[in-house]
Amino acid sequence: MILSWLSGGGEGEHHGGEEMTLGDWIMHHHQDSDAWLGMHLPHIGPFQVGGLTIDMSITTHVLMLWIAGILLTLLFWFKFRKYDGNPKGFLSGALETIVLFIRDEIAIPNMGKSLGLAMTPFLCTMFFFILTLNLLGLIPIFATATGNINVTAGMAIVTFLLTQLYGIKKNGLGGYLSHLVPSGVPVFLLPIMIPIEIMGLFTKPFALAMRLFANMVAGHTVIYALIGLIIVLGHWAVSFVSIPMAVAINFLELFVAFLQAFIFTMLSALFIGMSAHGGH
Amino acid sequence: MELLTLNPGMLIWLVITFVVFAFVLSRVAWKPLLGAVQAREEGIANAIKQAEEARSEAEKVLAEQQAKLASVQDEIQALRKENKAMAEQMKAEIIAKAHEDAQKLRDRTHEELGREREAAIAALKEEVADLVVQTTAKLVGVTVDKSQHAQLIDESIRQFGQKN
Repeated sequence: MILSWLSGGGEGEHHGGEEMTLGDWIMHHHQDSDAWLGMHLPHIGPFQVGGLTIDMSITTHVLMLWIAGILLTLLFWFKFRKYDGNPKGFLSGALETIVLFIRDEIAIPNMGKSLGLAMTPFLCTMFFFILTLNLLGLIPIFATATGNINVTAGMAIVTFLLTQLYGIKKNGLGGYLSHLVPSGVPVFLLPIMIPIEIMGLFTKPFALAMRLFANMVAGHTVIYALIGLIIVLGHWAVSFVSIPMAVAINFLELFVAFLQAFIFTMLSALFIGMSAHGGH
Repeated sequence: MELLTLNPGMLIWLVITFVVFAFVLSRVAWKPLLGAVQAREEGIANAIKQAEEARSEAEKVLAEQQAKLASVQDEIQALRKENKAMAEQMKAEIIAKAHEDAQKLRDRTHEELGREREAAIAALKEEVADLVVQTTAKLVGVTVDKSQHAQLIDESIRQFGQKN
């Protein structure tokens, strides 16, 4: 029965005149769209820049980015606008603890004292932005922007650019290039090592982007599939099994939301720190 | 694999949004928060340093006071010893003087008593002599002249004294 659903033999639904399987529905759920809560969002573009077609339309995920940013801004503005270093209440205490954790456990150990302190605001933004996007994705009417490869890739690109920037700033362009290859490598290995190291530069942000994206998509797919099971199997009793499981996965997702935000921030700090200090 | 296709417009939106909110949040959130926390941490570090300084100061003062107290106690002990010795000496002196006075008083009394006794004896002698003369005159009926008198009296006294 499950096999028939996986191969697209589930109960069909009509959408746009085509028959949709549960698999199609899940994919549809993950995809970005140009409407949110029945509102149509403005189309901008597409523009032709060189050979590239750039579609700057405001999509649901773009809207989620803005909502997350505005929520964060308001939250921190209300909590820390006039802050005297004396947390009042649970929320400001918790937020302060997270910020201090980022400063003391992520930024400073990975990047050293001076760069760590300078980069703490960036890392805090990254952590809270990803966390908020992840958590928004768990609320039914919102979409999961971190389940969009463009969002995770964009943030990985920011990290990548900062990594290269601090590498060049620290070692100079020549030193930066020579640091690409670990010192003490025999000359005859260089033809192999140089391409590997250059590939390594790009695999790091690639892995960063894919990890967050895949985690978010996977969790939502599992939840959606568990709930879809009720329709596929066609009996209400199935919900006694699949709803508790979906709820359990939802809690797991809550944990993953924090975990992935932490991992992304942690690895960003690590990569920037590594290139800024020339360590391999 | 529609999910994995990159969309440059979305990428640009992400970068714009991220940079804008990184800027806004660093203004609105991170700067006041981290600033306040740093001030707090410095305040705590200062307070700890000051407390440590105050403690070492207090310990120093305490040691000083204890040393002073010990010296004062020594002094008191010495004074007490001195006073005690002085008191003992005074006591001995007073007692000695009292003894002496008592002795003197006793001696003088003794002396006076002796003198009184002698005077009494002399008076008694005279009285006895007169009595004897009168009695004798009465008995004899003769008046003896004064020189005989004196002789007789002396004789009789001597005899009286010898008898006694």
